[in-house]
Amino acid sequence: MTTAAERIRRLGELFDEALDLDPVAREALLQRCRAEDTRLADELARLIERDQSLLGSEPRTALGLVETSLDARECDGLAPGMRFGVYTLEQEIGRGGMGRVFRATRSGPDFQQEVAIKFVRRDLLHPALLRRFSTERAILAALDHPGISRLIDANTTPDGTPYVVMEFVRGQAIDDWADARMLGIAERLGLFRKVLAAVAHAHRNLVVHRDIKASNVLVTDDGEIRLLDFGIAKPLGRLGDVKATQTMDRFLTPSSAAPEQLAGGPITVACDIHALGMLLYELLAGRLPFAFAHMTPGEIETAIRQLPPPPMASRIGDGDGVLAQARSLSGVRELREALRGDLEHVVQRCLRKLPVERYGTVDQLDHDLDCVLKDQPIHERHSDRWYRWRKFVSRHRVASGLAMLLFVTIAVAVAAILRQNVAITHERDRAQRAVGLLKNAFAAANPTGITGANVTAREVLEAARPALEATFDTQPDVYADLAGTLAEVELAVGLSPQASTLAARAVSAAENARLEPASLGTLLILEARARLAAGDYSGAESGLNRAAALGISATPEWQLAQGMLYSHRSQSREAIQHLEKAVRETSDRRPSDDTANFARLQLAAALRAADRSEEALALLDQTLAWQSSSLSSDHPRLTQVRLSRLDVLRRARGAAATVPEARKVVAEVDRIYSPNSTVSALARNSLGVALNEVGQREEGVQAIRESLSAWRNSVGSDHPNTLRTAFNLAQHLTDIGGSDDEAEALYREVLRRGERTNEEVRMPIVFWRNHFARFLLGRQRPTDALTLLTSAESVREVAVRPIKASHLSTYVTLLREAAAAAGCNTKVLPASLLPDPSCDRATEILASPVVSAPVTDSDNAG
Amino acid sequence: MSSITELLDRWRRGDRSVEDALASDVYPVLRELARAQVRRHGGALTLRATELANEAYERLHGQQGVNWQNRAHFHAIAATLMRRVVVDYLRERQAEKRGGDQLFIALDDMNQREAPSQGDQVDWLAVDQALTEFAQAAPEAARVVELRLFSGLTKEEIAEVCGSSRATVGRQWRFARAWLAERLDVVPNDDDGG
Repeated sequence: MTTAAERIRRLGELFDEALDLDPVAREALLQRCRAEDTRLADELARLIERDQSLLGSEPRTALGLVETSLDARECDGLAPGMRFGVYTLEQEIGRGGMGRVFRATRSGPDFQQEVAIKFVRRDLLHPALLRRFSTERAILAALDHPGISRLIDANTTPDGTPYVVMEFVRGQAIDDWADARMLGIAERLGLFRKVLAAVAHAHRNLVVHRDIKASNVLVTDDGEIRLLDFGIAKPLGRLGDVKATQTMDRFLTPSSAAPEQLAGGPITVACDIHALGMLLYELLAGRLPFAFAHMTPGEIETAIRQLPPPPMASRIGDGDGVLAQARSLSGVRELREALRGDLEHVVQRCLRKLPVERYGTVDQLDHDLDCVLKDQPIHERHSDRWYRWRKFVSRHRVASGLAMLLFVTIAVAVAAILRQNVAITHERDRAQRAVGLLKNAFAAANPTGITGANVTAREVLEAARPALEATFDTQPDVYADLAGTLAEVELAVGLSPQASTLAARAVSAAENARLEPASLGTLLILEARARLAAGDYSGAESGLNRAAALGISATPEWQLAQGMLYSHRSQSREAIQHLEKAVRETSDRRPSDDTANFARLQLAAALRAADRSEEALALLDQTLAWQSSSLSSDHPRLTQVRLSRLDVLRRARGAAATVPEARKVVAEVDRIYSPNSTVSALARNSLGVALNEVGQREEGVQAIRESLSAWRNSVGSDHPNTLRTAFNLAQHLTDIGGSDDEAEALYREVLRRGERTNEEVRMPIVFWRNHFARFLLGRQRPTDALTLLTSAESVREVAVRPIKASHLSTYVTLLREAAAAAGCNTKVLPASLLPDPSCDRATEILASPVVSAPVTDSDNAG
Repeated sequence: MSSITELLDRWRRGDRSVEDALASDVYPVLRELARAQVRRHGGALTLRATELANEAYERLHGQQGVNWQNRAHFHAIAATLMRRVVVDYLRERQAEKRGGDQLFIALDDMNQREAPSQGDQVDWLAVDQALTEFAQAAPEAARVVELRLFSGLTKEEIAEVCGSSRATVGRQWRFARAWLAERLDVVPNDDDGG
């Protein structure tokens, strides 16, 4: 099976070869090729023919003109009152990509019938369209179903315009009809299943509709549905031929198109399934998955192709009382409730980006809706996991699409500002919405928030910065909004130093723009959190103090940030106080709320640090129960909590109780994400630690080995977490014994990489080096230990950086030990055997004030 | 706007990662000029890509002091953006007209400064789409097409910009042209049932 790209490449090679040949030799080449692959040979022959026919006219260099006569279609002479044959045009009722539609009367000797006539636009009369038009006739003639509007006639007008005559349907678009009658959710599903029956009939006749949307599904007064406009319908090929054909046309409605339709991919029943998902979404939630009305076509395309549709319930705002009413529900709460659960899963499965992940047939979709109506479980969940896994591994692809979206957003916003356009507010709102989408997508792609995990995201954000900076002086309020949002994204993907810089800029822009205290305070809190993540605690503190001075210290967001600051400074009691307040204040928020979740996780961590693991465990269990009430069992938030819980569980109930749960989490994570994800690395590490503690050391070491490999594959070998895990593994290997070579290689790697990256991220290098030195001393290699401890890097670390007193005193002890064991104090050895100049350096270091002066534990030392 | 100059330097040294940043600086200018051009022509649906590129060059060079290496250097970058401007423009236009009008130009515009010949009309958005598909298989040849269709560069200049020879560029162009012409003429309902 070759891909399209491989095929083109192969064609290119053959074509290139053919260019050098005379016609006879060329024919021989084609013959040889035909023996291998007939279709390829045919394609090649056609390309050569094309080339020859184009050759006579040496092509021009420039694009030249893009133009068309816009008014051509106004000159087709069609107007109400016009008569031809038995038809009289009454009224224009529609205009589509292909042409115009009129309501008309068909008069016979003893009857009059209302019909709809569709004319093809004459300026589009090229062979491709004519062929499609005749296809449409053939298709419609083949379909006979009460749910599909009937074909009556097809012909050309006297002046050659092709037309089709269809049954005229008096009805209302399905969503309007349902709203007008205040249909409840179950009734809407019943109505929708009638649509499914009609579409299924078309599919059984090997026809896909390709443009299913609310305005193409009418409901008559007696409640029967009619599917209109097989305008771009297309036969699927011969019976049993499941291979799809490519589409070339852009006649479809972008907002109802499936991702693969926009990409020019194969058209299959999966396109209709996608469109049905959009229709169902709209019918239930009262709107399409994305706010298309405010987007440019480019943004629409990006949304359809890249962004996961938000859950229906999340789209229901507090002001949507009318929507709830139109669904015979008492309020928005009830509506949200009704849209959650299996129904949401069914809709989401229709809207998968990959066709293979959607329902395979309309009947399967219908079956699941039947289950929903009967309150039976659906078969959906299994593939949901597969989907999430796919989504996670395709993170980079998502991000590159987002780069485009972000770029367009900023470009539009900036262009608007440069023009000082009156439409600024509108453009800015749109930009913010787009950035909001972006933020959600990032969060979905990176559930653990491990720093550095998303390289592509970094590129996205860096690309956006220059355009953004241009607004700082001219439009500080716009800058504050956009920069704040971007900083949040940066923080979420682990770019904390960049996030703090940008947030600080946003704060000063907000001050310049004299924004209200609440907005300024939000930005200050953001800046504080970014500084905290970047290790700048005093900066974080002053930001929080300023925010408090604005009178927002009562908000859970402020309490959370303040609590985190205390946690970082190991002031558990104060940390717990603030975090408890944050948890209390967010108790009425939804399980998907950022602050609510974060506050709980932070509080659990603080409780654990204060040796109150039982309480931490209770809190996390309660959090899990709370989340399970509305999130699916493999939601990233639940994974996050279950991961944090492992460590707490081990402290509260012991390692033996933790091992089985850790195994479960590992298996679950492998299924949902991948063995090479940050999530998997964390889970395996917890499992390894627990196994080691219960004495299953071989197995424990293996789990940590796997964790290390997951870290390497997901965030790279230089990441702090990779280094920490490598160090832990080296220690465990040392403890078990028998793997000294592996352990030594790991120690050396950790130190080499750690020394290189330590400028940006603080790591306990001295602590690591001490351990390695002890390892070497334990193996009777004092000279190596001494070389290690007196290396230039080592001396610099000890002399220049603030390090923990305990690490420093261990260092001094080891250095003395190594110097003695290496024979530095023995004067009887011949000079050539002395480990110079290490001995001299050791003496120097031991005499230096850094080592002899009293040291205190510092904030920043690891 | 020395940042553009800096980005250009990096780009010339082969750093493709700056393309998006460059685009975000240049694209708005092109887009604005495109709109202005349409306004100037009384709303007629005419986009002269080379003229547009020259205007953008003047604007960025003259007013913002961007230090382009040379004309070819600028047009090489502008070609990609120009393609985006044209496509976005047509899509927007299409959306305004409610899924309406297809715009046509000749893929192989035979005579400079002449309207496209009637017999050889192609949906420009489809060209863009096909070119994207083609680029996955033959990125270099696709780049040649982009430069030929969206920049005012001569064959020699294109060869220079692509770091290639005139002959190679000519062969790539011939293959790409034949493939695109074949691709765009194909009716969706192909006859072999596949």
